[in-house]
Amino acid sequence: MSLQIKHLNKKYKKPVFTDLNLELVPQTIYGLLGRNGVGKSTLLNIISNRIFANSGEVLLDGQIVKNNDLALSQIFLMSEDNLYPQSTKVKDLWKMSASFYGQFDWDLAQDFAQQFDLDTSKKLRSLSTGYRTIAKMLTALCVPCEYIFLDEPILGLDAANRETFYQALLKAYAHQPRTFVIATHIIEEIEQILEKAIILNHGRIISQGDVEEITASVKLVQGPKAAVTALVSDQQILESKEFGNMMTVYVHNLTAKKIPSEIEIKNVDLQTCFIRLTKGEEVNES
Amino acid sequence: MTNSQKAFIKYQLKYLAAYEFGIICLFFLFAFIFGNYSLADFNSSFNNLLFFAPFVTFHWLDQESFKLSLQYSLSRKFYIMMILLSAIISAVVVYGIILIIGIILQNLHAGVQTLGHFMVLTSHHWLRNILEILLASLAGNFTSIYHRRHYLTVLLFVILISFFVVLNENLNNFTTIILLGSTLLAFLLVIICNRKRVIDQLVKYK
Repeated sequence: MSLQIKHLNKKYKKPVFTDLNLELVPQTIYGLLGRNGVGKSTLLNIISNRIFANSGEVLLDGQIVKNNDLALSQIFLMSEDNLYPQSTKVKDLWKMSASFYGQFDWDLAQDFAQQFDLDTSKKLRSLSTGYRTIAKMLTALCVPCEYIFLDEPILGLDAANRETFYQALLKAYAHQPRTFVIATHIIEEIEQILEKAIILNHGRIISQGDVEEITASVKLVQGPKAAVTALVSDQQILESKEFGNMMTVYVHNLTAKKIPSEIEIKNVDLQTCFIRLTKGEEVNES
Repeated sequence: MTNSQKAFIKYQLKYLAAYEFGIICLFFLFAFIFGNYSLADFNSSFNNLLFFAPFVTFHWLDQESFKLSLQYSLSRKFYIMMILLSAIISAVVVYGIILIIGIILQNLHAGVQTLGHFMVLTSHHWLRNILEILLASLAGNFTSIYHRRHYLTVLLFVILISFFVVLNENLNNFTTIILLGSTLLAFLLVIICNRKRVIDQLVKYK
C-alpha cells in the first residue's frame, strides 16, 4: 500500500508547491525536512484531506485520497492544531479514536502513558502544552492507520521526553510496522531513527532517499586553499569558508577523482547536510 | 460505511440528542412562563426559541464536529451531508416531540390542558416552525464554519438575532421565504466555496 503524490500544485498568494511528485513506501520511517514556511504542514494537510491542492492528486494504493473516506481511514495526521474537543479527557480521547478507527492499541497506550507519566484522567484543556502534545502524539502512535504523519511531534517537549518519544516511536513501529512521516526541525536528534528523508525547499523536493545516501551526497573538503580550489573547481559547491591559507568547502555529489594527500574529505551528518543543501541552493540561485 | 463515518454519526447524534433535550426543556420553561399570558406572547416566545436554540447549538456543535472531521480525516462531502441531515433530523424531531407532548397534555387533567393546547396550536404553523429550526441550524453552521475571527461571528450573530427578533413579531410567509432564500443561498455559497481556498483559510485559522 504505497502513497503517491503526483503533480501537486498548491498556491496561496504565492505558489507553495509546483509539480511536486513523491512516493512514500510502506513500513518506513521518513523525516520530512524543510526550513520554516517551506510547506511541510501544507503538504501533510493536503495528504490528509484537511486542505485541497489547486491541482494534482494524492493516491493511496492507486485510489484517489481526496474525499475518499475509505482511503482516508488509513491516514492519520497529528498536527500542532488543537482539533480535539478540549474538554475531553485523555482516556476518552483514546476511546473516541478507537471508535473512529475500529481499533486502538490500548496496551501500548497505557504503557506509553506510564513512561511519559501522563495522567489519562485529565482533560486536554488542563494539560500543559508539552503534555497536550504527548497526549496527541500517543494517540497517533496507537491508531491502526497505515500512514501516520507527525507534524512537529516534539514541539514543547523537554529533552527527556523527546528521548522517550524516540523510543516510543520505535516501539510502536516494531509492534506494528507502518509508515511514519515526521516533520521536524530537530534533525540532529531524529536522524538516528529515520530510514529515509525528504528535503523540501522552495516548493520542490531537493533531495530524498535513504538517510545514508543523502548524507553521503554532501562531503566536507578541507585543506590548503590552492589544492581545494583546484579539486572543487568543477564541482557543485554548497558553501565555502577560508581560514588564512586553509579552505573548507561543502560539495554536493563530489565526483570521484584522485584526492591529493593534503586534502581531507569528511562525511557530514543529516543536519549539516540539510543546512548546506537548503542554504547552498539559495547561494546557487542568487 | 467506514468506522470513521459511523463514529462521526454517533458523535453528532449524541450532541443532537443533548440539544434536543435542552430545547424541549427550554420550551417548557417558556411555556410555563408565558402560559399565563396570551397565545400571542406564547407564540412569539416559541418562535424566538425555535431560532435561538438551534442557532447557538449548531454554531457550537459544528465548530467541534468540523474540527473533529478534520482530525479524523473525514471527507468534506460526508461532513456536509451529515450537517444537513442533522439539521433536518433536529428540526423534525424537536417539533414532533413538542407536538406529541402537546397532544398528550391536552388529554390529561385540567392543570396542563392549556399548556397542551398551546403546544398543539403551534402545529398550525408546523411547516414554518420546522423551516425556522432548519434555517437557524444552517445559519448556526454557516457562522460556525465561516467565521475567521470571533468578532465576525459576534457580528453575524447579532445581525441574525436582530433580523429574527424584528421579523418574528409579524412573521408571515413572505418573510419566511426571504429567510429561507437567504440562508439557503448562504449555505449554497458555503458548498460552492468549500472546495476552494476558503477552507484553507479556515484551517489555517483554526
